[in-house]
Amino acid sequence: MAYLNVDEVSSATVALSAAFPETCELVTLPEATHEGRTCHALRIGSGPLDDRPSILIVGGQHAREWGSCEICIGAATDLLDAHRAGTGLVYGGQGFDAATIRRIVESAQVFVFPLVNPDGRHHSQTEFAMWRKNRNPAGAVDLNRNYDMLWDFRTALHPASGAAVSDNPASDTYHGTAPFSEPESRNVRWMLDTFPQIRWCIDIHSFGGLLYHVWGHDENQTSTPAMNFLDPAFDGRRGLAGDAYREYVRPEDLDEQARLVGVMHDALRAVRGVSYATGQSFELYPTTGTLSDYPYSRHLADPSLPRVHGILIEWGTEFQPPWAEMERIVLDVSSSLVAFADQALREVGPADATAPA
Amino acid sequence: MAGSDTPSSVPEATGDKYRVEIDFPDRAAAGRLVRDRGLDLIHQAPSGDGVRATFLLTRAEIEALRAEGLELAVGENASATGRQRQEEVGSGDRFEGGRVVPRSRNLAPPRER
Repeated sequence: MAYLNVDEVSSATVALSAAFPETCELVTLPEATHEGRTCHALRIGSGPLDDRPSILIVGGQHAREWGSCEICIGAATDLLDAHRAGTGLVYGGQGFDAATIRRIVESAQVFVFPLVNPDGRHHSQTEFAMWRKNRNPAGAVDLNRNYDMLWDFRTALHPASGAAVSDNPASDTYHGTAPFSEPESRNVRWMLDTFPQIRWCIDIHSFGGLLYHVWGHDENQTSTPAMNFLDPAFDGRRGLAGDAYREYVRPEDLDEQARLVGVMHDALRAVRGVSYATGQSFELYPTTGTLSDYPYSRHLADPSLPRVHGILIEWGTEFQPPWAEMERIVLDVSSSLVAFADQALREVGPADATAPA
Repeated sequence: MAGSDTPSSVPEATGDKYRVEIDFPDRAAAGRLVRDRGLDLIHQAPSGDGVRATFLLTRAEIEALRAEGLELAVGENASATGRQRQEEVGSGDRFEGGRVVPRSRNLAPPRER
């Protein structure tokens, strides 16, 4: 085996949708990339699209983090194959029984968007291996700084925040000319707009061995709703640890997110003993315009939109481990994803999801 | 780059990026470097009483930081390692445009079904 090239990610996605028509549907994203590639996602879930609680799993925003696509394709294949066979899944020391797999596939919908940035992945796999951004010829963009969540970091953040974001097109963290200036990030937004059933969004990255929830731009607080990213009175004060400004999270949302990353941690560690750190993504370094924060920000900016919890995975200890190690990481993270789906259904309760068989 | 910075068996190329660790007394100090230089920060974690930041830096960036007196721990040539990994990327299309289906290797054995 070997890492998937760009054509293979697409072919694997198409193949799964064709082979499992009863539980899988191909979703074609509306916008082609700068180099003309069409992106695909999968909807995993028995029967037609409906209002079942749904999870969006996203991979391959950053070009050099190759294994994220393998995780997406691997986890999708596992769920579909196990459901059809009526069996469970085993990842090293972690097992999931057949009833759990059936409940996920039949009581939820899992949208898997394995490769947001195929142009960048192709460049990284064939030319400059450490390439991170997309391939916009007018100035390549870090897609995971291009979402409309405090995108204007110079206004939003304290000048000394040290946020890993830039308005210099030469920077690896260049945020683009405007929020959603890029077709690839607009494709992700389209998924959230088109499928309001989505309640959780998991964005897969490398590296660090981390399982994080919101927020990424400042420390969390649960007591002062008025202290939030929407209020311009706090412009220029965000992004510093230990100061007076902290970003509000509804306490029950923070509890749910913490439970979810806790379950992911335990399921991942059970595979072969690897332990990922858990917490909020600000603990890594301050960020803005990211997919781990944007989904949860949407319902706050527009109360008519559904609440979507954002989760960030940073797998491994290097961007491109030897394939033999990457195969083991795929098992680690796949275990955490299946556990997440199981726990997510428990979070919504029997009113929204059928009880385990 | 000094020989100790780069394994001799790994050929270098112009623009290669090296994995570099720098210790800072706090996050703010690391943040100032990120803000002022726009460096490729890839990881940051607590270390002792401060933080250890990991960057991917070119030779020019490394030399510029050293000239300012910063202590750097220069690790592998990540670009060169990446070129080796490119040999582990599939060629052609193992799924033949969608006609060959990926199969799970993680199904529970029959006794656990």
